[in-house]
Amino acid sequence: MRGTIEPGTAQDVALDKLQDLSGAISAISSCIPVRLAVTYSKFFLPLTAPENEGSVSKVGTFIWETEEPEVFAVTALPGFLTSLLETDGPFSGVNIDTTQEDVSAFIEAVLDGIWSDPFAVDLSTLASAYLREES
Amino acid sequence: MAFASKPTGDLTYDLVDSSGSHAKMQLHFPVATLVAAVFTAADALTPLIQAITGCTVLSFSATYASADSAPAAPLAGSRIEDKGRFIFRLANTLTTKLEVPGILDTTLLASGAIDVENADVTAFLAAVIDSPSIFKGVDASDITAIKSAYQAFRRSTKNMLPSGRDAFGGA
Repeated sequence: MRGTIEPGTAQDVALDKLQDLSGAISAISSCIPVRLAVTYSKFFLPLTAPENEGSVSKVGTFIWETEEPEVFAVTALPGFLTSLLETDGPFSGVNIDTTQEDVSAFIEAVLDGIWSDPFAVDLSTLASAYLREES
Repeated sequence: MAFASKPTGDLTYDLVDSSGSHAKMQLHFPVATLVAAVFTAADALTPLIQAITGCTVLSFSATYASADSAPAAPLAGSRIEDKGRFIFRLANTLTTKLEVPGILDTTLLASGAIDVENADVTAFLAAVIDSPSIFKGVDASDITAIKSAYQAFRRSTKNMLPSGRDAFGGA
């Protein structure tokens, strides 16, 4: 079941209202609400054309260490540019060149930002980054 | 019914490549982070993503979710395809729709309309309409009144089919 909420509604207010509504729904439904969620979206217009080289099947895979030992998080970035892969060494063409300026800017922004693993444990450092091809 | 927030919200980017294929990228953030802070961080990350992919970022969305880890059992025989369809009037004269899965037969009139004088239905309508309500039309227009309400069925999708389908009683 899906509806629309007033723009600018704080997430805690929205979730409280949804929980209230789920009680009212339960009273008229033979089903049981098991999950409720509120989503805020932003769309970019006008769009710029994608580069010809980009293909969503080429996935830049970033493995992050978290502040909890032995716990890692993964970010999968579709359309990763193959021009940003290492060109020397045994993992050339596979590992992402993390010294490249744009790549290191992305890594820094993720580590310095609000981002965490799915259990809200902060990301601490990049453990590994490589290209994965999806069929 | 005891809903608890997930520890994190999900930020999802929607990307498109030059062939027109779409893909999503997801990050997580602590659930207490305000939407404005998430959008600021996501905005900052957008050009960095575009710089290392050949894709265009179409949009991003931040989702906060709660789940009931021990929900009560649904009523026997309940089916989500059996909908209660509520059409609401909007302040701008358009309409918007909400569909309640598994509408109870006890809320229905013989005609197939939903009894809007039923106490539980009235409570549901009040939760959707009454000021101050956060629920709006898709264009953010206020919901002002119920226009029509009736039972409606929809075709089962694969996900809607019962989990137990074996003719001999297996899973």
